[in-house]
Amino acid sequence: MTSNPDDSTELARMQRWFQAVVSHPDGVEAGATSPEAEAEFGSSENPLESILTGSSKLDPANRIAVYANAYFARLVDCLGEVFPILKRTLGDEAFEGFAAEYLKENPSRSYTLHRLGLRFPEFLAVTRPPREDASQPDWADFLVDLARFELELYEVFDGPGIEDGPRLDVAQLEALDGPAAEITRLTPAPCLRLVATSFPVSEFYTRARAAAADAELEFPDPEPSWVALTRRDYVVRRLPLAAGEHALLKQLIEGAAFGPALEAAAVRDDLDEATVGAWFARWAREDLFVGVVGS
Amino acid sequence: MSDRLSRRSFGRFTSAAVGGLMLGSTAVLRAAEGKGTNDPANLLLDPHVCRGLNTCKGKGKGKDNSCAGVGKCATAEAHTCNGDNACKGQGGCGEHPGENSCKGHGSCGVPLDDKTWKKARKSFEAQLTKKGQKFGAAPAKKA
Repeated sequence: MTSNPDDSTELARMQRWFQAVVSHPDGVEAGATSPEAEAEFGSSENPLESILTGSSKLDPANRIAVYANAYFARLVDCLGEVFPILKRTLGDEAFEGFAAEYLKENPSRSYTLHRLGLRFPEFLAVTRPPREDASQPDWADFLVDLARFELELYEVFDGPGIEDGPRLDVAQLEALDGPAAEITRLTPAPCLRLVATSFPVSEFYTRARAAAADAELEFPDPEPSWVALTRRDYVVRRLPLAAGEHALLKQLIEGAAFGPALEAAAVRDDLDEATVGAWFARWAREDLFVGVVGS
Repeated sequence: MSDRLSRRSFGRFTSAAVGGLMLGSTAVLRAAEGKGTNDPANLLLDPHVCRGLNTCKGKGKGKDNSCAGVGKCATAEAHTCNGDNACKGQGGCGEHPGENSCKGHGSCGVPLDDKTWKKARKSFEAQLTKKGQKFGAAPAKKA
């Protein structure tokens, strides 16, 4: 480098310039003429050549492109870790192509890479080609479903959980009588998520995880599916749900009291008490709720 | 209260719900009593090393990095999850010599192409063909 980075101010300027060039989604040439880069060393006709020196084998642009490529390669790798089964389903080349396009439109702007993939499912949904038959979900919907599912898994895995928090208080439950139960609300576990998909994505996910690395994954036929995701002892758990179970659970998570939620469920799904009791027992066993309020 | 759901029926439903919660909660308590306490130190048994990026629980790097969850799932999967867990398996990192040559990461270069959906389509057409399912021509990209 031709600049003198001896003092900390100069070094800091060079670091900011380097970051602006290396992380620019349109490449190092575009990065070198970006406002962020020019704010450090001004503008010139050939900024890369004026700031960097070449080697015997690489000119300045190609030298710094090594770092730019490594930067994006790491980001693509990180997305692959958030969406491992999607990557496996698509194949490395297609997945990395999607990831690269996504990163171009959604460059990393956060101090943490945890947020890198948050918009990836939406990106796939927006860029997907039109359906051949608008009346039913197609293969692109499956990819979007799978991406959304894996993102939810990732967030449940990495987000707040119940490991050190309160659980349902049996004594509090015992105190509930009829009128009190009617206005009771449940506090959902912070790690509880519901996922509704047009394909049996959770089953596919299980198959894909169990399949040999070189096994071909056959994508499933459309079928509405519901699953609850939660985490216990730092392990993410997936609970397949019936349609009515999902609907009732969703109402309770959204804050509905027992009364209106149960009444709606009973009318909608023609439920019996045994089914209701079994659902609530299952939800309690799985720690889907951690508190009782309003009683 | 709707016509279809009498006060008596409604009472039975709420009783069933509360009873279910109590049954499930009691089962959790019993299971916890039988299992004993978790030892947080177990998390440190796994030799995984975090990337220090998005995969860990914000514990920083170093050999005392707990990588909460990552270490746990490596052992928990076989014993308690019955294959139903979704541990990310994101341990293992470190720098790879030569990675900055971008070998194996061709599509990460710039400029980026926008033909990836076609590649995905090709893959799924192959699968549909294998399953014997018919499919139409790929639609044009949205305007």
